Amino acid sequence: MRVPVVWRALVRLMPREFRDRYGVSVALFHRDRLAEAVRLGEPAHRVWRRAVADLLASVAIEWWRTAVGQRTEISVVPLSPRLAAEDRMSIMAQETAQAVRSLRRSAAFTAAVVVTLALGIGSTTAIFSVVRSVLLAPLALPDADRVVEPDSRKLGTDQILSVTYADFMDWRDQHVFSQVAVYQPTQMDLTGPSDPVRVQAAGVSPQFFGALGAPASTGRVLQPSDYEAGGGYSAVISDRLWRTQFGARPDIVGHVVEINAVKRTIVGVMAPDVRWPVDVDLWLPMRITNELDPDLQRRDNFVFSAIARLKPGATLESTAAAMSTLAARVASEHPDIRAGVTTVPTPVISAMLGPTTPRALWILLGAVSLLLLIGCVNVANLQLARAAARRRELAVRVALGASRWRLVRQSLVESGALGLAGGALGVVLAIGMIRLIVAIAPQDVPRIETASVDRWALAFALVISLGVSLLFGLAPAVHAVRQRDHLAMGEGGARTSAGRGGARTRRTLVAVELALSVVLLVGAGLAVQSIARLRHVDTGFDRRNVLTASISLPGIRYDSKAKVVAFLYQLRDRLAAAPGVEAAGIASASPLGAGGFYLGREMVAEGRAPTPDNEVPINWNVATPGYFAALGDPLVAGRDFSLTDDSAGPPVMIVNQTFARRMFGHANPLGRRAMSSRDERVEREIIGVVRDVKYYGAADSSRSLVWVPYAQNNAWHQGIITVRARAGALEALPVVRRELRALDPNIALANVVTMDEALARSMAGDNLVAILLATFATLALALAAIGVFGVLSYAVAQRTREMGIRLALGARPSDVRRLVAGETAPMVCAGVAVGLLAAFGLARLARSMLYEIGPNDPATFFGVALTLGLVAAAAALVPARRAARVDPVIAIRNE
Amino acid sequence: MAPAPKPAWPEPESLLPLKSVDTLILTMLAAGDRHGYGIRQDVLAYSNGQIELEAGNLYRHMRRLESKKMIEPAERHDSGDDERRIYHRLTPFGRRVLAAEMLRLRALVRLAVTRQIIAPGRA
Repeated sequence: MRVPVVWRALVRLMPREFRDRYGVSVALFHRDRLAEAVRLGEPAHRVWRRAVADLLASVAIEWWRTAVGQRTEISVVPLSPRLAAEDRMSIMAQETAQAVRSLRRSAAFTAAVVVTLALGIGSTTAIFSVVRSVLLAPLALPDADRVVEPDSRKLGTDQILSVTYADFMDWRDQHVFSQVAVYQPTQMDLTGPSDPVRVQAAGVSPQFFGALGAPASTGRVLQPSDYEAGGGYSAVISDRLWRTQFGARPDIVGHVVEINAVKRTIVGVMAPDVRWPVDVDLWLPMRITNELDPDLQRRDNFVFSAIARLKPGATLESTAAAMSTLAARVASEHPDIRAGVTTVPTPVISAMLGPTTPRALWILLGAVSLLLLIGCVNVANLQLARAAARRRELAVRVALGASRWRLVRQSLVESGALGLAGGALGVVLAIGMIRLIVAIAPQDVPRIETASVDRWALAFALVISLGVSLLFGLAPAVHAVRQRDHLAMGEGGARTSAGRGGARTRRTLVAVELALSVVLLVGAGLAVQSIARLRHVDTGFDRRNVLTASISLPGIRYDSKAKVVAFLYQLRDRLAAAPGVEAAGIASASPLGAGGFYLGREMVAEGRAPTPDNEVPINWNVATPGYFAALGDPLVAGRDFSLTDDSAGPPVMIVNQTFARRMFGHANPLGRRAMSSRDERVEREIIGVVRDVKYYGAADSSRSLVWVPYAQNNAWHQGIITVRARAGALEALPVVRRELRALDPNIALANVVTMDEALARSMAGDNLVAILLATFATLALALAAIGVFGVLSYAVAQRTREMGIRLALGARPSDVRRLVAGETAPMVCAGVAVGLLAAFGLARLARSMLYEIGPNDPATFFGVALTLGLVAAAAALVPARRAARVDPVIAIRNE
Repeated sequence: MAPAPKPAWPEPESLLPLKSVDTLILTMLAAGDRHGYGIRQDVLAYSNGQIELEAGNLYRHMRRLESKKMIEPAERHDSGDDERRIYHRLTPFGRRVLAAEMLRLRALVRLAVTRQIIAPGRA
């Protein structure tokens, strides 16, 4: 009977010393054991289980002993470099043990290296985790990569439009997708177990859940019967709503609630992670009774969003081609409204992320990688300095016949141990950093709350720990080999020859480090200036003490325009008259991206043909009198709406300055008329001009805005209450609640936000990027300073004798200082120059993220160069002074 | 040629108490040279199958006993056996340590008798 191969393989895991002595015995022991087990009827699996567990435990114990235990006998490494494969393991173990011991001896060095690496690895791991959870993690949908969001694009612009119902019907009827649906997000008031609450809802067409592919976790999703006229009203709710509003009651299916004053039966609860394509809490069937309705047939009524699943066998490209062909046909049939418009499918994950978030995250990942590299360079330098201090140890080892490879390996093993220690500490840091990032990240970054140190992050940390170990271990390794050659050739006694090459390497490394720091500093400088400009941006109105909150009137009770207008105007009057309120108004949408509803329309001035050339695209808003007063009266000409601007009065509108300029140039716009050329077709007189307000957020560019009075618009059921309080904005909240409840207790107040908050929210993303970049850049600067200081200190210490001789021969201290400074200057200049060039090339990547500052802003570049120069000079000062203070007598005597 | 310096053996008492596995190994070897598997079989027989030593653990302890010079490799005995396997035997030092351990245990047993934990044996 032979010893089983598996067992022999396991025995090989033992340390060599042990195996040489007892390997055969252990192997034969097991063979005998198996043979006897057969005789005694002991099950073979029991033998194996016990033996393997026992052996593995012994392997671990023996290796531990080899690594840290006190060796009783001195092991003699044979001079012959050719070793059998199994011997290498045991040499590695010896080397690891040696590395650990030697690192334990120099605690300060080890601590410096581990902390530097931990900062780099921790930051990189944290940003990587965020990148992975936000950008790279797959969506929790079956075949999520086959789910797309079709939308419309204006060719030659970056304008993205929604889709028209007519286009949707084409896609559906011509089977462009396997499933396709349209939906419309809205807000609805849910009255059920508690006071009315405003919830985000979506009306969805029949194939919505099929296209998404997400099943309900309780009950069912919507099915065709839910869409039949005369059928009951049903609703699907989110897991979040189920938990917050219904206490996660298990009998939720069949429960009847009132949604916007309509009784609906809950038929299902979606799984918790269904947040796409819109993050809503309520899905309702969108009942289309007549698809021939002219509004639905219009090819320019871009008011629907769409979601679709690719056909089996179809690719994104083939589907895009099919959609583009259909769009081209529509464009040729309706050249007046659809010329230059095409339709494209966007993968749902790209649509969800948008363009800014991925760019910002990749830039951050690039920035932390630079920081990590800088850390590596510093560590490499520290190791070089230490290697020089260990020349004697090296000499002994070379004398004993250590091979080149052995020296390289020893250096790499030591680096590996440092890298892993830094990585372990870095992971701890990353956990904290991720929490911090999630806390200050803007709310609209999808999935960021899922970022954590998971197995991906751990694997990443491990890989980069080992990767950077190789990176910063290489320079010392090469250095060791070079030293070996010098020593081998009998130059070991020469004080300077070997030191020269090392010094050059160290200086090059510091220059590299400085260059990397310049890139980071330029990036951070641009981001910080951009955010500073955003903070001081003129929003076009007075934000102080302004509170906004949205309401939505249920159509079933407010079923006429008269009722809607009466309610809104009455509410406004009560608010304006309430104590503590300076001014109040209601508008359909709020500036600074605070939400609401507006229409994208085209307008032409009176007397001009309604052709695309004459049309000006605008955002159409609706407002009550007093709204502009609540915004701090940004009116620059004309008057506010009044109660007489009603359906009986002449049609009027208030426009902003950009609109006036685009429509009428420098002519006075007051009294001029314009109309919405494609739908309303009513000539409206401009009665007022307001300053340009930042509409979508602080960084918004100027766009044309138009407001018409609620009394002159068709019934819009939603509005944003805007109140300017005499004291703090939130002081007005109880007043708003009280007045609303007094008029209609069944209307919920939602999205309560002050204008200051809205502004902060719109800047949160830029803010986060700026904070992180600035942090990374500060760390980089500190590391670079340490690098310069370390290299010069070391050089001065090495040349104490030379300095002493110079001073003894009559050099003045200032000469010595100049000598040291002279060595610093080329290194710093080269690093900064290379860094500026690299930054010049890279900054363009960040152009779209910058506000009112060019990517190659000369002041920033100059400032960074100056800062680094000063910091480097400061770091060089101490070693230079030390060199000048050398006492010649002591210096020479010490040798 | 100068005589080799006599190795300075530690006092046997300084190695006490022995681990129970060590005691078992030494006791079995006291009866004659054994290889590892033989020790296992002896221990099994002595303990009525209660104590099963496995290879890794056993050789780990033997490695330790050998490094402390309590056991050493022995010459081959029966040529019919696999010639690669190592037999071990007790060194004189090992025998002294084992004896010291046994004296310690006997004192302990006597104490147990005095405390009426067990009845006195016949010996």
